Amino acid sequence: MDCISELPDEILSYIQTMLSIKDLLKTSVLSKRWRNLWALRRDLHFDIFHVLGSSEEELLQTVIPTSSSTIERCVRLDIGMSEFVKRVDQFLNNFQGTKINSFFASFYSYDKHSNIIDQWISFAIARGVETINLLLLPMPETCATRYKQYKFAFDLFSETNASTLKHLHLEHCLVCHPTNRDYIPFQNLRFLSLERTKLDEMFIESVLSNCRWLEELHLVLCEFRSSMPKIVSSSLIHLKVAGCYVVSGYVQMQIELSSIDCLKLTSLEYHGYSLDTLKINTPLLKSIRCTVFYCEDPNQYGLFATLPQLEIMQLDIYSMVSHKVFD
Amino acid sequence: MAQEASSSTSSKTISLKTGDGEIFEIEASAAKQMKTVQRLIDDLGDDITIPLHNVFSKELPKIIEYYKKDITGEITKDFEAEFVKDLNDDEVKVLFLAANYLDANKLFEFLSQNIADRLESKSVEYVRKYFGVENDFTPEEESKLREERAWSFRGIKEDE
Repeated sequence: MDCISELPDEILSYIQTMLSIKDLLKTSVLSKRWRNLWALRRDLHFDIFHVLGSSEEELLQTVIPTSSSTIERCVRLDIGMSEFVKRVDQFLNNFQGTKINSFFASFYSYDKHSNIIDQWISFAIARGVETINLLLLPMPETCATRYKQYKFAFDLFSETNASTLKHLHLEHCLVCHPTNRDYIPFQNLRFLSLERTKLDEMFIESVLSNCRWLEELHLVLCEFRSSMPKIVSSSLIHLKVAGCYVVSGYVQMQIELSSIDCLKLTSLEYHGYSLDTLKINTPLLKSIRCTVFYCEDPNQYGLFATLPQLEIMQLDIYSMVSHKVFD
Repeated sequence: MAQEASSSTSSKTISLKTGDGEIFEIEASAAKQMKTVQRLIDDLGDDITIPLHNVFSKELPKIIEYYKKDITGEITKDFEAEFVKDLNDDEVKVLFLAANYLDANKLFEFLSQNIADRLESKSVEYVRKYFGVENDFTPEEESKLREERAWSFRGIKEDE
């Protein structure tokens, strides 16, 4: 065999998985077989570098303060992101595959792109996607007042229930509770991570009670409506909560974990102000890593000593830094 | 050759005969990484010279070099970069096809990535020739496709 084209489709499609989006689209012009081959791609990954290409990386320089004016920088970034969205759209419109495993998108976005992002998510769900990573980036601070966040609306999934989705990671969006409060899609979710998202704590409590196979939950730098959700789950194994807050007036106030009732939980990672109010029911907890700012009475951490399975405890207190790691 | 039933083959060498009649030796543990070779050994025995009709004396030494490093766990990014540094696109293609024939997974994956990297910014004609693809689009179909994807054709280097 002296010709790569004589190789079977699976092997050619393997080479294709290593190509950037740009080159992938080029191969679709090689011949009809190649045009159909890239429909075999299962993992769709769109980030600024791969979609816009290195020659347009200078676009990204606009985010780092330079001598050009603020407005000019925002405008250039805006144009760049419109191009990003156009290219991803074009790729998806031409994609003929019927099943995808993962969908990843990361770019500077705000509510102007809402409809399009909704379409991408629907596109992925319709093809049985298992992992969605939507890492939106905020427009530069100086422009922030003009841009609102993308709203991730669960009503998108009412038809299929997104029953194949197992892994969901969202950054920098608004997460809106489904209008029908009893309806939660993603019943098979195993992993949920929300970073810099704004949401109602009732949504988390809803997810915890309806997603009976949820194993891992991350809540990082999230803005809740009025308080920290109570973490109650019979399936949760790993929990990470860091820097969550509410906004009262124009002031950000840190809120603390108050209640963890998870019989299967084995690891907890927490970064907050204090653990004064924490009540836990986690008999299987093996590992705790905490960073708190305030510690009036170190004895309160004695509550952790009651945990029979505890193997690792790492506690950083900012007023006095101390590490305790013991078996 | 000695007829010992050796359960430990770590120091044993296997003879491989290329399609153009040359014989090379590799360690049995390296041969294990090439599933095609291992299958032939299982069928023919390990004291017979294994014939490899589709691999030739130009590329087999390079493949042996790669797996010699692999069994000692010394394959690093630097080694891999050095390995392909002086190879032209056609030489990599021949190695790739050989790795595929030998079912040598690690080398196959590494060369797939290298080919993908080399094709970046090459023209469609170059890639067609490289892969041996016959163009079955009509001129109209092709120009329509190119127009739709115009942005992916920017920044193409001159064919060598």
